[in-house]
Amino acid sequence: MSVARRPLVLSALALIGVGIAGGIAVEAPRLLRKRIHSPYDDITDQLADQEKAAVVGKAVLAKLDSFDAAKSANALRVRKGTLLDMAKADLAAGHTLEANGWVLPQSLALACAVLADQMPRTG
Amino acid sequence: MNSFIDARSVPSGSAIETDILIIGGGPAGITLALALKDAPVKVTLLESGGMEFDAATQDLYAGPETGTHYLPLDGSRMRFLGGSTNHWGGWCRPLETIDFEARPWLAHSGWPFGRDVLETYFPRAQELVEAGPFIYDDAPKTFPVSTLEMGPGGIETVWFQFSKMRGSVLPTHFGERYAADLKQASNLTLYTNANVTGLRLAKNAKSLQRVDVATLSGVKFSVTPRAVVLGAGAIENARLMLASNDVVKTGVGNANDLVGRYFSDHPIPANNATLVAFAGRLSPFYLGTQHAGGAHVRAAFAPTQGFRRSRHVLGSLITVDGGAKLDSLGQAAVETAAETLGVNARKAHAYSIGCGFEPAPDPDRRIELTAERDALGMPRAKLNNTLSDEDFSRYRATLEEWGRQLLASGAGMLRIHHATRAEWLAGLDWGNHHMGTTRMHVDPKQGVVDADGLVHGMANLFVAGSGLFPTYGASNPTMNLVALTLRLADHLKGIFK
Repeated sequence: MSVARRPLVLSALALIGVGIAGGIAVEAPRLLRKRIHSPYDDITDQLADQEKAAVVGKAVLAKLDSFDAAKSANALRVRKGTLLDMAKADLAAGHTLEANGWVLPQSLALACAVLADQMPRTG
Repeated sequence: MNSFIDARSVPSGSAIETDILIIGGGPAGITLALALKDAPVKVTLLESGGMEFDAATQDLYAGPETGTHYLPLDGSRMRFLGGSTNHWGGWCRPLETIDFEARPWLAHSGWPFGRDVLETYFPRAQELVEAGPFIYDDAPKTFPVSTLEMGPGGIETVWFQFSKMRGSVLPTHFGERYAADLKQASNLTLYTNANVTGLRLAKNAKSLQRVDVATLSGVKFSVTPRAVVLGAGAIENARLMLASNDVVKTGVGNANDLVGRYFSDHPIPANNATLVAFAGRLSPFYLGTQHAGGAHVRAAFAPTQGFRRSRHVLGSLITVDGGAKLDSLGQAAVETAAETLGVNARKAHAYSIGCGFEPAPDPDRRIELTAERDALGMPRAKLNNTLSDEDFSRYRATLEEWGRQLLASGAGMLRIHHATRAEWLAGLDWGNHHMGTTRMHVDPKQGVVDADGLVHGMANLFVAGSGLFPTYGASNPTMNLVALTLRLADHLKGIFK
């Protein structure tokens, strides 16, 4: 009986190991995502993957003649709700902006732009 | 009595009499001849080409172009029996109600009648183009299909059908397909290799007395008809009317300088957008022709009529052309948007988007004559083509709405590839859908022909084909021009009963 129990325990441990390794593999990118801190963290922290959001934000900035991060952030702050709420409201109202042609809710595009605008100061 | 006669065998100087003379053996001319086969009239059809392609005959179509790049005039149409159905792609879709409406925001818009008038003729037209049962946008009610759920908005799934359902030859080439039927029409004589070189008017210019005919081999003869129907295609009809200027200097039916104007085609900006479907692969119905419900069908996207009315955009038929790869920005945009909106986009799939769209009517987009002559001594046609920034921006507004709607519904997202005129024009193709040039309008100052296709001011000269379309819609014209020609056939039967 004790001879049969050992492989069983080893198998169980192996399965747990695989599970942990899989969990790490799935979650690590999220856990290791860089956070870009700026005076607009309340806005930009709502962007799950800031590196990718900054790529989008750069494309938004490229199309804008001028951009004031503080003004844009404040414009978002005065609106009630989360970025998700604002994005949904924008889409319902037809308020969109483009990032090199990608059609985005205006609030999301501006949040990405705010983030991208802060990039040089974080390096 | 009935026969196909090679005009090269007709003795020069012959004078042929007929009741109804049809000029042109394309889809309009053949439809008309078939529709008149039981009418108590003698019908003559003149076809410039023979049963097969001939380079010398095709060269009669050559001509220069100016303005926005267009297709070669001799490459954009076919000059032998069957006309341009000989290089037709077979795409069919009836025009929509809005296509017939006069819209205050769209200059020169509106047909002299509504879609209901043409609807009567759609079933028979559908038979002639052999596109199977008339299903179109009833497809989801007719067979099981999973369309992209996009929620409320300005864009919807619409359906094409395709000619034809018979054998391995796709689509219906009207000449090849209907030659035997034409030969069985006891009231019809069809001349091949017979080129019209002049529409000869009475001195008072109120009726057409005689049509001059020539072959490339040098034979010349004439036809004296009671009524004539020009069915040689939008470019050639205008060319013949403008070139026949011996009685009226400005040409036949051109008292108001409208003949040749308002030419149009459907611009086709390939790969003009990228669609990302968050839930994964689209139904194969979007990606190519499928056989379902007894028809060859394909799904596409289009602005709803409500959206077109409220946002003042014109028609477009948006197709999914194939798979696409996302660059780093595309991947970032998809992930950022999906995560923010709480949508699962792990199976997202990207597609390249094409379309054909409807330009606004433009009197400066026109057919004129050049000083250069063809082998028969006829002045060649010249096209001045235009495409305005507004034409592009109207289609772009449709794409912007689609992008909004996709995100709002969580179905996907869209990248619009072009922003500048230069970007739109790069690689722009055209549909070979020649329209306008002899537009219909009840007012002679706004149209070349009236609601029955009769040239204003003329007693017996009619025009058939998509050259009559005053506004164009986005639908492929062949099935619609066949329906319009069937209506003309009924009108002529009423006159000659």
